[in-house]
Amino acid sequence: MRTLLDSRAFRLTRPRLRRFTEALHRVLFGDRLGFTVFLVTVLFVGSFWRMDFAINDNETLANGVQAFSNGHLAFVDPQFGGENGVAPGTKYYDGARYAREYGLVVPASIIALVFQGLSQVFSLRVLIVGAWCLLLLLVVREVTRDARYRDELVVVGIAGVLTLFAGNVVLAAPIDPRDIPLLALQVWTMLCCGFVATVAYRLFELELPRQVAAAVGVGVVVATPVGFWASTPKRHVVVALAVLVAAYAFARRPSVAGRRGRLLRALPYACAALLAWVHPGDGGIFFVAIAIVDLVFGASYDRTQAALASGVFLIALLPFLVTNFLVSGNPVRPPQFLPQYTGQPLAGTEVGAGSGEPGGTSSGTEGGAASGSDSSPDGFSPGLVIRSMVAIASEAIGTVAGFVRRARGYAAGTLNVFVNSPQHVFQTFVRSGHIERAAARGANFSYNLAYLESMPLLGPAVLGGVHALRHSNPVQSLRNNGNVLFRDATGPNRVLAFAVVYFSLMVLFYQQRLPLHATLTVRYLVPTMPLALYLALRLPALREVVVSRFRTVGVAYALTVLVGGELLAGVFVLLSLSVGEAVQLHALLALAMAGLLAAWCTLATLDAPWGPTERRGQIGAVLLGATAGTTTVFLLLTGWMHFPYGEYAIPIVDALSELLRS
Amino acid sequence: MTVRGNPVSLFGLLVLVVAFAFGPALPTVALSSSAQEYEPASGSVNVTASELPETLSLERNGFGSGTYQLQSSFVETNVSGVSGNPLVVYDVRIPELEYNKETYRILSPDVEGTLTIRASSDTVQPSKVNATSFDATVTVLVRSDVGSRVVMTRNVTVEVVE
Repeated sequence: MRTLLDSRAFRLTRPRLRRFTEALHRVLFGDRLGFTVFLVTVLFVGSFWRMDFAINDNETLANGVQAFSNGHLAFVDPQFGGENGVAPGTKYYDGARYAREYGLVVPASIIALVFQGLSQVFSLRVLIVGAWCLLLLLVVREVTRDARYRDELVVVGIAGVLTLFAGNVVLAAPIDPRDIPLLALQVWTMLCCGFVATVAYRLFELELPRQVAAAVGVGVVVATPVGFWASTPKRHVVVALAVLVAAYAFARRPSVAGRRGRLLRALPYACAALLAWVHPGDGGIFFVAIAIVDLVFGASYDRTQAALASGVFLIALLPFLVTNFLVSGNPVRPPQFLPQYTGQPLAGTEVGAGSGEPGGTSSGTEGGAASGSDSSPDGFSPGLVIRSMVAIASEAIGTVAGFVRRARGYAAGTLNVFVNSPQHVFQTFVRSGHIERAAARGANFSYNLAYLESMPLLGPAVLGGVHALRHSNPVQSLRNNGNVLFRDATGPNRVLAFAVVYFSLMVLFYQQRLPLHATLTVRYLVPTMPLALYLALRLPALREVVVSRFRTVGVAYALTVLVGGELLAGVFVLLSLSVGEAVQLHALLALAMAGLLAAWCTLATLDAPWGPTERRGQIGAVLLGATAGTTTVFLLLTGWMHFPYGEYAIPIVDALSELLRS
Repeated sequence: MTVRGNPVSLFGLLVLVVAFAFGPALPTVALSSSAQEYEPASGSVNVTASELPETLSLERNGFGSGTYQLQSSFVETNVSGVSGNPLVVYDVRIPELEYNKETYRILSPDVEGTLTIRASSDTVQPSKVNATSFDATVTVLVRSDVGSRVVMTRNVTVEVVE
């Protein structure tokens, strides 16, 4: 061991460190522009980050982070939620309370530990404000890199950032160290949100010019409801990230050969496994979708690839299996399948002592593995191993069967909704308004939007999807010679197949519960929204507009956000609308934009004669920019104005928010 | 004009220095605290109500949101001799709709003279609104050291406006 560390090959030298950071940078962001996309996105979502709970089932996760960053899996002294940490989603097993979604809890715990360490020496609040200002400075530097008056612009930028920093520090209040678990969760999902944009940029960069791809990458977060969920630490942003990584891998795979190509092909499986750790349901849906696309549209599997894919999948599945094993003794029984904690008796001091050792509970572990035999160390025998493996396998089969049964129930429920209550489908996808069912479950005003209302780009997405399907290889060859050939599909065809399969599966499993209270932007379906944007840009008319009239789209977008957003805020203040009315007005505006853009797309695709020919493209560009801007305005005004809760992480936004709401 | 040095690293260093200064090592330098020292419903105050609404209206919300909302109403009060942090409360109750909304102001000793309290309002689900008018009570209360005291109360009618 010592010789290894001492040997020259492993010494950490400066060039080696630099090469390592460069490689890491390349893997994470791709290139400089990818990094800028990341910065801009995090800067945007940070501007409406509130250091408080938006939804009470986040309390469970925060309790999980609090416990795990202190070395326990089970809650010891939960500080969030009701009495004894009762909160929606808190689980109970064998006298102990657990969180769920450990795939979120564990990375957030690492951030929480870093924050705790930093707060011993520094003011955490000043660090957060400073980090946000630093992001701004980095963006200024990146954006002005090739500008004509670069140095002047940088000086102005520095002065602005310094003023902003000073102003924020004057207004800032210290952070209560007990809030660190929540902040860590929020920081984790906001970082994931940044990567959503970066991976989207890299996906679009394969088909569009770089600048356009960067704008669209940022747009995936700021012009769709993905950004809405950035600082509400639920699973949706993380699922969206996995979806984009898989889509990127599918798109890149055909052009990458050799070992890297094999690894790239295994990447979606790693995402599926890690996603199961976050949420087994979403992980399961995702797994089925990528498996279908990979097996049907990929190259045929050889033995190496099969071994690599299953190996990568199993390794990535380890955190999931280990967590489940430590919680319930059954590696395939995720916390989501455990009973809800509603105040059941706790195993008092025993739990505290048992889980006091770092690494988690030991009580559940022993109970599961040593069932019915003595657990003394010398009682180890092949028979025992086989017996416990058989026990685990039979439990696994039981859990998987339960999972399949649930899935079947959901799917049947969805088909039932489609046949018997199509109005629910309409309320989920087109127009929300007042939803009796949501109101009955506690939505006391109409704040739950439909898919199209929160993501008006769905209209072109449907058209783009249909167009791409009609012109895709398999369908074309079916038309020409009656043969269907799926194998070795091109990158874009794989992403298309993934988008269609994933979207169908998500609707199949979630529609039976929708429309529902507290979904705001149909949050269950948020992971499909980046793919919807991808499909929209598969429509040749729209792609042509975004590529050749990029500047017009940008100007229309900026005007919509800056002028339109301000006007709309003025309307809200003047009419003193209630929150429900304000959200529904946003919805109607989005619907209007969606209708116009979809109409333009239809006309442009059919090449119908209308209006002045030379203006058609320009009108499309304006409509596209304005539609994207409508969603951004929705994100900003809901973030700054409509839903007041908690203190903003960037204190100057507090002042802005008060101004808007006065 | 050229920029020497790396502004990003310099700014990062500045952030660290400021964060350290406001950190636990230097307890004399502290951030402004947002949590004000209030002890609500303490002390004493003289309050008289000068204006209470005579009717209220329950209007249907627009833009397809479907719910009803009690239109904002206000009371005017006269406040004098404040000590501590007493509360002045404007309370609206509509028993048939199970509607009960309190809007309060926390007073501090520097408050004197006319104080207008505009009621914040809750939404009412359409399934509950099955009449064209409802009976309601509007009340001004004071909460202080001596507990809760009604200053003025009035029975009013709520008209439903579609």
